[in-house]
Amino acid sequence: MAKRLLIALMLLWIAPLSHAAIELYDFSSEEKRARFHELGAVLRCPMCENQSIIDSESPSAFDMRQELYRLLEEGYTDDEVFEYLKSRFGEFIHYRPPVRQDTWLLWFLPPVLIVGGLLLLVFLARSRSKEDPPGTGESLSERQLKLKKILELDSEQTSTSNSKGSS
Amino acid sequence: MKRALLFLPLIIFMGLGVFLYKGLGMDPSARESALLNKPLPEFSMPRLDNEELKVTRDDLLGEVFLINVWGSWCPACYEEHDEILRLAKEGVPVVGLNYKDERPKAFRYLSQLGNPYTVNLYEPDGVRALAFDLGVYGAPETFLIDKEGIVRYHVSGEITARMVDEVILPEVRKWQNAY
Repeated sequence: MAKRLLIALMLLWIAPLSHAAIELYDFSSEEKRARFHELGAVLRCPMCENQSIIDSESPSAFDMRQELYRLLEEGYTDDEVFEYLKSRFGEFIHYRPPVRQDTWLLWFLPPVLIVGGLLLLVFLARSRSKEDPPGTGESLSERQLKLKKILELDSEQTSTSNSKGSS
Repeated sequence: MKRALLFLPLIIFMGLGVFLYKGLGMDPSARESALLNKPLPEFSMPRLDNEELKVTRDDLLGEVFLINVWGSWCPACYEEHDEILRLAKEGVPVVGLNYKDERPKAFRYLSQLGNPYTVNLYEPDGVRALAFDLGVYGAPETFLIDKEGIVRYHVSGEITARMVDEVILPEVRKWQNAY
């Protein structure tokens, strides 16, 4: 019983989420319906900065959907739709900005940063392995001998400094 | 060399900081109109005060004027209304574009606050006419149209007293003296 109630409550919570853009459009073909959803998802609502006109419930997104429907029914191609809306609302309306001199940074900075980061990683890994090569040709016994000498030297020094301190 | 490299993350971070800080102060909804320096679109729309009478583009052209998009539902329109009244008093013709409003509410707005408009066009919800063709997506918005019918200046959002004195009036005078 409790489980059922919980499920019912959860469904209630989902209901308002699926409410966006619910008005009906009577398309003359399935192809136009598909394009409506395709274009609607890449057209940005002019009033709300981060929603497509399909997602937004704002009045201006509603206007855009109505106009998109009208344009598609009148036989506009995708490019013509973008041109028509851009001439009114500017480049802002299209989620995909054009590749122009003033948008180069936008388009090319991320790949440049990724490639640069990878190169930096490779460079750092190489320089580290040069500083501390794992095998220098010395055998294990040679190394241990070296280590022993260092330790002896160290203990000698501490004992001399100790004796100095006591005298 | 090694030492200098250590400061690289700090420098990158500071650059990012400056960039993001600048972004904080920017108004994302303020952007240039796509209609700037383009002709005012053709239209034929009913007057707010009389459904029967239509106003067209040609009816308005011939002098420099402003188009002010407003609605009784729009809080910033109340805020800027005194400035629109002042512009009208200064002799600047202001054409009102009543946007997504209802006639009774619009009439009440004008009778309570005063009517600075030479004429009001009516574009209710569900109609896509001049406001849509001008790329209007909210109110208030204001456009400056020159004698030839070219859009010369655009403000999206509230007009302040300072903007009137420092930008709008000088722009109006400039285009009145042009041609």
